[in-house]
Amino acid sequence: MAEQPRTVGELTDLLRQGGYLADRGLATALFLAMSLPRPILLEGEVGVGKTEAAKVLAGVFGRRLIRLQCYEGIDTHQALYEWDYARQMLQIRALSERQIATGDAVDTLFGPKFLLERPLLEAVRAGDQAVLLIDEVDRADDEFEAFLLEVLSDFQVSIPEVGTVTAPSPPLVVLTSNRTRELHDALKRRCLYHWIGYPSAARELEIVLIREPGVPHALARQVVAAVHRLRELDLAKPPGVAETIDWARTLDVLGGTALDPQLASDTLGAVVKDRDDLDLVQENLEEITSGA
Amino acid sequence: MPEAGLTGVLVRFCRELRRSGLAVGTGDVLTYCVAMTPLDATDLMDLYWAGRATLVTRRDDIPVYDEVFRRFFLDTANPVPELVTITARTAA
Repeated sequence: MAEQPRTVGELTDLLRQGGYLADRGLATALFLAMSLPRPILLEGEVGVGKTEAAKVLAGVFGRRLIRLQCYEGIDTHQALYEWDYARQMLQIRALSERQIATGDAVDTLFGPKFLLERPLLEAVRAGDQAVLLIDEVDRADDEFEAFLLEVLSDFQVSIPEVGTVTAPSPPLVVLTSNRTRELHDALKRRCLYHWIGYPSAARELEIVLIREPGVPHALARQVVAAVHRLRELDLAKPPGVAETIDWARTLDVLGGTALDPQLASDTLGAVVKDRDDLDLVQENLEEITSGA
Repeated sequence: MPEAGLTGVLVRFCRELRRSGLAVGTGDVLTYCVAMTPLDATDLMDLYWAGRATLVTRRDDIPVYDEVFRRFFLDTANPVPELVTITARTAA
């Protein structure tokens, strides 16, 4: 298992072995995130492979992937640690039945045994044996962002009842954002930054073929061309790379060898996921599937 | 840390970015310099991408960064003297 990449080229090769094609910019940014080391913020449209990058990094370097999925209203307890309330209650009942509820016994209620580790604490403990993926950080609110900033600054977690846990060496941290809102400067300053755009047609074809080697080359090329035309339409949810791969796989499973309007219409659900978008695309199917 | 000549070039480049409106702090300059250590300072791609990763924090700033980079590193009429020397020395 690889320890640490020595060059950008070496990292690119390793990622490719993991089925992930990174261009020079992304590979350089990830390489720096590992060698400095420093958290990296990946921004980009939905489905360009931000989350996947973290997963593959964990895979090829044999590190544990610890994922913190952000959402509106997420609070520090869900991210850091919680007390196992149900077990504490059971313990209290057992103690009082046997009438041994001494001070020490009560103290153990707030010991490691009853502590539920959540992703951030888990990552601090695992240190550089982990890749910490903080997914869709733009969905969390301001306070949570400020709290993240603190954790990412010193990789140290204080639990009043237990003590301070410090990372032996920081984990590799990958944050992703779909840019539904602008993140705070303070958090961004902590991180390296990379914007992932949609890949060129040539690269996307390569990605489809590496992920779905069974799909005929000609079919894959038609699918990629059609997806690129879809992205030019004004869709509410433009298809990401994951959708391109899904569509190619779906067509292949159905035994399709060429993308015609009929076949495209039957399988459109794999690539267009919005009701209004579907109507718009159906109207333009001829054009989208033509001349690929 | 890279040699003094290169550091001077990177610092001047960062100052240009600042002049064009990018919020580049001293800490960012330092990170850029450190980032170049495992990379190849004679490779324009490395100079470009390391700067993009360490000095840019918003997508909207990328066009500004591109413009300043082009002007600073790729203006053949007005080349960066240190860079020419570094290239010559590595080639030797």
